[in-house]
Amino acid sequence: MTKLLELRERLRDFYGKFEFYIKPGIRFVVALITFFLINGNIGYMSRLNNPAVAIALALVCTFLPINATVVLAAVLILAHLFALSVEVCVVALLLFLVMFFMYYKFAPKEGYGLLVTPLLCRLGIGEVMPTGLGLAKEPYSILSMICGLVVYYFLRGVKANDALLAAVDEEAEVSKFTLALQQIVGNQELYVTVLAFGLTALVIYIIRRQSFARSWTVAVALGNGINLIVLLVGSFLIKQTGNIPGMIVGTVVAVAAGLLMEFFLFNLDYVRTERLQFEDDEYYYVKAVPKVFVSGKEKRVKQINSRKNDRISKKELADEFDIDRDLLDD
Amino acid sequence: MLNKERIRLMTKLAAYEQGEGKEYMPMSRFYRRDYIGFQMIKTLFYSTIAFGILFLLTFLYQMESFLESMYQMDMQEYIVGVLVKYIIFVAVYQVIARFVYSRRYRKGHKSLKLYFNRLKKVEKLYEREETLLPIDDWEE
Repeated sequence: MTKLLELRERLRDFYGKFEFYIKPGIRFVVALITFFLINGNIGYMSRLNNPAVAIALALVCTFLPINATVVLAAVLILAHLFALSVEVCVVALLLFLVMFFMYYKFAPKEGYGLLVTPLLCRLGIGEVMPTGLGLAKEPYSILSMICGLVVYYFLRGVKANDALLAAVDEEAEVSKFTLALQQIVGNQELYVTVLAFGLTALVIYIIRRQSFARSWTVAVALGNGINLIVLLVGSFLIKQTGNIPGMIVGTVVAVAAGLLMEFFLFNLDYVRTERLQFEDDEYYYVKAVPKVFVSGKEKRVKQINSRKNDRISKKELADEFDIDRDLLDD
Repeated sequence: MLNKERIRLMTKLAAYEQGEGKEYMPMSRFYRRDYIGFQMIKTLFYSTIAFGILFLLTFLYQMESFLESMYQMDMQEYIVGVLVKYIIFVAVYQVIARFVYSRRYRKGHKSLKLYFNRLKKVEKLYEREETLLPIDDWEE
């Protein structure tokens, strides 16, 4: 445990020192994964379906706030869907607009929630999301997760039906609009997931705010238990039991992620270096670094009590001075 | 002249202005009621747009069945139904907005108070420095 704590201190120190580079780095990685996944899964516009494009876009995102990544990802998705079918593109555009006006106008700082949810879902560990949000965020950020889930299931449905959606068929029974929207409205899996994830995030948030000892651990365990139960019951009810191993793996990963977060997040909050400028008669350029705990390495314990073999016996003393031992008797 | 204590305070002030306070600064120009009212009007506007798009989406979703049954349908009843839904939608949003923004105002107000207190302290430090300066000169 001490080793871990020491590691944490060192990581925190590292983060505090290089925050200036780490934050854009994280943005770059998230953006890159996002664009690669979009291209890899719904890359219908061949001109954009190119690693160079994804890398270039991610580089742009590195230097912009995270919401820029969200907007660029939305544009990329729309472009690909446009190449598939205009109707699908229109539906997606309207969907994005609804999300924007219903939610993002009011909570503009939740870009990561929206972006990472579909990513994790695609990677099969979407269960991490409610744990993360419940532990680190306010309850209203659950809405950003729900938006992310809607986008994910919509795109997955579009991908599954892309042949139908791309076909030029005037005699089709349902319009492409209906078929595209069917991916959301008629998607019971989406409902089950939204219910499970939303409930989990809420439970975790409520429990971890309690003051009893190890409330975070309890929150992670209980929340993910509820999540798994709701997902399992739900998938039996809608008779889609294909993904049960995935759910279990996802839950295990979520528990691990939650415990890791508990370890780091309780204190990592303090790590915020600020770079500021202000002026009166002079100009001030200040870098304010909050105090960091002394890491384990720097602590030096000085042993004060005497060593054991400080006491020597009469025999040793007598031998040392080369005298008779009896002389030392008092 | 550089004053350690003042710089410390000013650093905190600048940190607030450029970080947490950015969101709250505009609040200092409003009374509570005006602030919440203004935000609620904004919310009304955005929720109306959102409802419009949602309506469009549902229309697209049911386009076929709608076009088929359009002639037998009571148009008046349909429109009234949509209006009722719109009013409920907007009303829910207004309630949420009221709740959220009054909470945000309370929170912002509290942190602004701290900010202005610090500002006052800096001002006092300036004043003291100014009155002290001539003496410093004299001592030299």
